[in-house]
Amino acid sequence: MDNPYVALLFSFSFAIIFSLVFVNLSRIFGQSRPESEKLDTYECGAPPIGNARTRISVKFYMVAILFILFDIEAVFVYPWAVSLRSFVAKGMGTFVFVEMLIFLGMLFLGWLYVLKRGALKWD
Amino acid sequence: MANEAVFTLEPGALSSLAPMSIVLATAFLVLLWDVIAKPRDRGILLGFSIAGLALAAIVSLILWSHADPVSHTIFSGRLAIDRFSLFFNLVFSVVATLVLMISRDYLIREQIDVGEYYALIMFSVFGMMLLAAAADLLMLFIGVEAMSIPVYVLVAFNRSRIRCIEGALKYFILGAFATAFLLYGIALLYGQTGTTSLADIHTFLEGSSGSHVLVPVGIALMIVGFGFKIGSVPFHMWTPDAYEGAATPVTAIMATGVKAAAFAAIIRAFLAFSPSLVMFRVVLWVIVALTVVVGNIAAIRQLNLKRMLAYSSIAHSGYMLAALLAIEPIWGPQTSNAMSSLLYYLLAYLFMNIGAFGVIVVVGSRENEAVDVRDWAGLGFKYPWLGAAMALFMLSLGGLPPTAGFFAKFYLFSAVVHAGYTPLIILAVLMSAASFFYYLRVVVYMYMQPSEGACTPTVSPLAAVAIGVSALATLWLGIAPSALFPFLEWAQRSVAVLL
Amino acid sequence: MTVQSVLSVAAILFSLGLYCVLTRKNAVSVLMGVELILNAANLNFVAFSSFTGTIGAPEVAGRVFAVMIIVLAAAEAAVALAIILAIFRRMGTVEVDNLNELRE
Repeated sequence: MDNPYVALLFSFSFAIIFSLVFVNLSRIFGQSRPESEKLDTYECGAPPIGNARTRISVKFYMVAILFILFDIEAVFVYPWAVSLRSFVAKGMGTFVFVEMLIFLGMLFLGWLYVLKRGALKWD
Repeated sequence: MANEAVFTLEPGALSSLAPMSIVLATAFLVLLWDVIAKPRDRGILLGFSIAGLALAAIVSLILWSHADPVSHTIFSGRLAIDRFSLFFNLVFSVVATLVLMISRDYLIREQIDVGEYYALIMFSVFGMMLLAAAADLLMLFIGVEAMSIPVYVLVAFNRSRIRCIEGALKYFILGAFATAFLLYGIALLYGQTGTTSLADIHTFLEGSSGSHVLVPVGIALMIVGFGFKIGSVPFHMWTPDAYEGAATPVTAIMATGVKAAAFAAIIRAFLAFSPSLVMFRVVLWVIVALTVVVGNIAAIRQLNLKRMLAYSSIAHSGYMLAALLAIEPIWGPQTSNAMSSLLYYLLAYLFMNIGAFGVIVVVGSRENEAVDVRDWAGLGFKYPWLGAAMALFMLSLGGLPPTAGFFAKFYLFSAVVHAGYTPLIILAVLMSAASFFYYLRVVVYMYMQPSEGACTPTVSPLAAVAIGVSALATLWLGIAPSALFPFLEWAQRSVAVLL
Repeated sequence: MTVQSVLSVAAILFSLGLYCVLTRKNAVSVLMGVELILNAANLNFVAFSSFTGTIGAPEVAGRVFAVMIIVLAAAEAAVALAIILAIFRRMGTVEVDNLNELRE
């Protein structure tokens, strides 16, 4: 396990196996009623062929901006995950762990606000 | 791992974060209370916010009395919970409480009384407290953003008025621009010194021979960034538009809390840069002179009270910036004097501005915002208390004894004169004499014009208390200025210990 | 690669951003200019942090700064876009030249 790339290998294998398993699970157990709409190229609800410079409904804006905000907060979790072990070695593991819980808790409160305010309702 | 993180958790570090944590927790509580419990009367949210601010102020006072070492940095020197930041915590709590009290009527009148307003004010107060405690350029940057982003939203809060969102866009673009400059400057300083800690930068600059080319460029860019934030000439273009466009209580917090927090950060940063500041004396001199002249001259033309106060706040930024000229390369009595007079000036400036904006809020109505001074004709006779309060704030802003404004100017100008900038101060005194022209115009309209004013003030008890407190503070600071000086000295000395 | 070359790229980015902010009429383009300046500063931080530390142990403050800038720039952009959207709804345009309600 000295090679640092072993972890990467694990990560890739997990991704491949996970996706293969779930795609095939839905093929085996799911019902399949193909129709022309469903078999069309998937393009997030927009017609796949035509001018790409059309105006997009403003409803997408809310979802997109909230996605960006919550997505980008994840950037703080990576350095935390990398350095957690060195803090544990110094006996500060609990403190650093609780710090991350507080951070995630604040994100959760933000999400709760978004949900209760109805920002994610489509209509 | 090769790179061990250098991080220590000092004993008592978490409890000294209490004022900020309380404010932040109140913000979240107010935000969620509004969407989950949906109270019909938002007065309870106002109560919560003020209770949170009061608690933060009390905790700050306790920390002040327990602050055994004068300077106390936590999280490996990232934040300084010293008497300087505790002093500012108290200031921000008082400012935000007064602003919330004058906001209530305005929000109901404009039908924008939603919980987010109170939460955003609290979030921005959190940013201000962080900014005043920043002992590291990283914390300074986070504080600036945590303070500014809620204020951008607050300026745009009254979305139904086109002026509001226009002012918000202008404020945002120039604010973000300023932050970008600030950051670029910080990056260059970091590149040369290899650290973002203000204390370490101070040590580096003390030991350096002055051949580091990135340091002056970095400091210059930071001056531009700060210059935008406090609205000093030539970086002031956004100020009148943003002040006029924003809802009046929001203008009040922009002119007071935001500016005070920016000055707190400037004081910390400039004291850290003090060994290298000599080469910026000329630049600062020019900025101060321009700010004082342009602010006062442009204000003379304004009949719109909010624009007039915007230019007046530019002029006051100029006076306060002058105190930075007195900073010596090595901390001495001259620097110490200048810094306490700057803190005193800030305090006086806060109360008279909040009071003035408070009177503007209660004089206006939904149909007529009453920002045109001509609408104020005869107000002094119809509403004697309101008229007297506004007259007091105007005279104090102009600097007439025995108000706070006079002593603030007196202490600050004499500190700068002692540093050898007599011509600049002569200019500033001349300009503040000229400023009476536009401050007195308000008084003249209120008392010496026939009573035909179109405005119909409605003074609620809450707003009356806020205006009364501001008026009393303006008077008290003017009558007994020496009572406050020991506190200011402790506050500024704690910054010096940090270096 | 030297630190100078990275700094030059950052300086060019900074100038482009400045040019964009000063000349563009569209509010969204102005916002993009501001983002360019922010990212120029970001590039400086990462460069300084890589070149001042030793190999394998970079000076970590610059990287922390970079992460913070990325996140706060996103928060700023979200607020800016909301303001621009409000303006578009009211005026049907986002050209900054058309914003002239607030005048002397």
